[in-house]
Amino acid sequence: MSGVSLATLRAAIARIEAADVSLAEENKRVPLGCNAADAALLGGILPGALHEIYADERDSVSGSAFAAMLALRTARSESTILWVRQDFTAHQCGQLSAQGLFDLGINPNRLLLVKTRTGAEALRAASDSLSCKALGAIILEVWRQPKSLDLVASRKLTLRAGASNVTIFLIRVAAAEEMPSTAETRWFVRAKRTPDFVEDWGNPLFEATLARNRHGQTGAWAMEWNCDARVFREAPQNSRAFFPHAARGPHQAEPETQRRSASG
Amino acid sequence: MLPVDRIRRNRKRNGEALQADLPLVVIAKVDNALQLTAVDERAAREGLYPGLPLADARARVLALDVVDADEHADRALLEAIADWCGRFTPLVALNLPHGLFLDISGCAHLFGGEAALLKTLCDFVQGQKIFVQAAIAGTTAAASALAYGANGTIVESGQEANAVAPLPISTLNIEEKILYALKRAGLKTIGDVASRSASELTARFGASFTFLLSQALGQNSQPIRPRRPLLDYVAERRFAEPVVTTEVITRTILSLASTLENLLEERGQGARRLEASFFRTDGAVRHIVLDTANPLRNAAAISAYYSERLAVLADPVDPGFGFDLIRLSALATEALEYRAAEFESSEDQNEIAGLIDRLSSRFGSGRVTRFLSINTHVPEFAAAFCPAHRGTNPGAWPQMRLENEMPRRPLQMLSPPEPINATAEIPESPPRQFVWRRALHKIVNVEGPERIAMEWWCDADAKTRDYFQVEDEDGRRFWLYRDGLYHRETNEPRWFMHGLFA
Repeated sequence: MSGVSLATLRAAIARIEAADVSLAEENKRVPLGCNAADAALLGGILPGALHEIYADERDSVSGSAFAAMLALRTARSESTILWVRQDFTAHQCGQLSAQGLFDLGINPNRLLLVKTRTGAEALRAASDSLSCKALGAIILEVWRQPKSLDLVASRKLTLRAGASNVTIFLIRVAAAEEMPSTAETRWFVRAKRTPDFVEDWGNPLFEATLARNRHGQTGAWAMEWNCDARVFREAPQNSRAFFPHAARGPHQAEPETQRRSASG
Repeated sequence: MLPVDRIRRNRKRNGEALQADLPLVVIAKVDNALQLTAVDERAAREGLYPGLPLADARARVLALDVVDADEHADRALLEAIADWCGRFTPLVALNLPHGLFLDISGCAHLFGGEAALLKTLCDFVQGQKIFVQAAIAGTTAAASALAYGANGTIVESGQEANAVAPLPISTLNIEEKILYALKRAGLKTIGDVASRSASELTARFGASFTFLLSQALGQNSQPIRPRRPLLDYVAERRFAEPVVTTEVITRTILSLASTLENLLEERGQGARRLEASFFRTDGAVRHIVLDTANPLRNAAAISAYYSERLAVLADPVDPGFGFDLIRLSALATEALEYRAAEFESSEDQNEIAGLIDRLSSRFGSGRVTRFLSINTHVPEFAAAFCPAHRGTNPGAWPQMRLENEMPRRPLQMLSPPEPINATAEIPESPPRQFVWRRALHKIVNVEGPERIAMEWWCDADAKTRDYFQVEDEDGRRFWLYRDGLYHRETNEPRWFMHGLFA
């Protein structure tokens, strides 16, 4: 048997297996509400897995909000959501505000907050709490690059999340570079500017880039969070698309790829 | 003698030169004059005594080692000794300034009888280079008088009157004025005073003196007021050989916890607050307190929480030369009933309570929190972080946002608000651009102002704030405010960044 045919066979088997997995998991995946993103995610966010959200320091609030919204989508109704944060993040980006969460449609009374001194402590708190099946979701917010957060740590998080079926969202604020990990998905999130023609501005808008997806395609979408229905929607299209010559800031005109790397 | 001993111990520990050749005196300002409050043996031999003015002392002895009194340090040392005495009985009371009372009713046989207990106690304290005098009697006043006047006495029950009769009246803990009057009347010993009729003494010195005297004579026994509340649920273990290793300590806590579990179970209680006390051979005592979210009595859970707590203490429990006594007690308890699990949700709640306990014991209860709604319109005080184990009802959150409206409060709030440089066209208008953390933000969308008046009844100087929700060119949204109404409250209003919207 030639090498080429062996490789082809292997690829075919891999495809079949991937299809099996997706079929089995399709039912339990939680849709975001944004159709294009849900299609790439094969139906939505996979519960009981590790998902990473990268955000620039200046976009940290978008990262936190995006993770909280994903957690709210995946968590069972009325279940407790654990949010682990470093003191430094609160110092640098501000304390979580209960009323702010409430206004986004997230009931603050469901949140259990853990403040830790270091990133390593935060990782340990989240990792140990993953065994608690009563939790709806865990949000772990770390600053920059804690030494203990390596491939082994991320593998542990994935295995524990799979065993207890608790979803964990890891927010990486101001991370210098992408780290290898076993995450199911990896998102880059930044704030999106309200289009000019929209008058009642103010709903949270995101430019979310799905940079890694273990069971599907990647992509980039502009999303809007609906605070009443608590779902994502496609954001209203930027006026730039309709009027390409409209004056915007210089960096707004940068190509998509460069902007993505800047936010990572 | 306590202050003198303390100063000597400190000097020895710090390696300072002992001026052994000079008599040591401790002084304090009493009635606007420097007086001796304590003297060492050498000074006493030179004829100095507490109460003597420093000037007189200097006149009598030329070379003196004079140290200022430090009441707080004396008190701290006394408390440390009291902590150590907790191994004999839970009932230890301070007899200020330099004494301790131990209620050893029913405890003495555990230490080989009263004489053996007294010897153990005195030997240890002496070993710490602290001068000690002690006595055992039926009442506190009698024991105290005997300790001062006849060190080491153990009085049979009912014999107090005979024992204290020959003691000088200065051994009673009474005011200087009364002491002086009694001396002038020629009453030198307690026996002399006791021979007078009670009504005579009451008429002259008041009822409290008569009461004290009757106590010294062994009547009217009063319970002491212990430093720490008497606990119903206590388990302890003593070691003939001091223990050092973590494994032994962990195993000990587990076995103590199972003893405690039985005690709690008998009365249908569960612990809400636990305390483990580690008594070191050198006298240091360390208490570690744990709070729990639900009443708890499962021994395995208690010992697991303690293992977590001990592993992450900022200043770990240092065994030194070993612990010779470990005690586990429940400081607060609550009725605990095992209910049949009816609903899945209550099972979930138990699991969450267990998680809260685990996290609290590791990181400290102040770091595992839930939001608590507070009824105020000052944005930074509208929510508090409340330790989750307390299980406080979080309260309701006001509906500020109407349907389809933008969020009214930011997701992340800076505390405190950070001053920014904002530029506005006219003072009352919203800003056009601002500099925050050295970055310039040009504003494209504005919503506001939302005027929030501060609580003038709390802080009269707080100014009214005009809040704006703004969006910059990159789509980032901020919550800014102008501090103070223009013209009415200030002429140069300052701008602050208060929060970040998603």
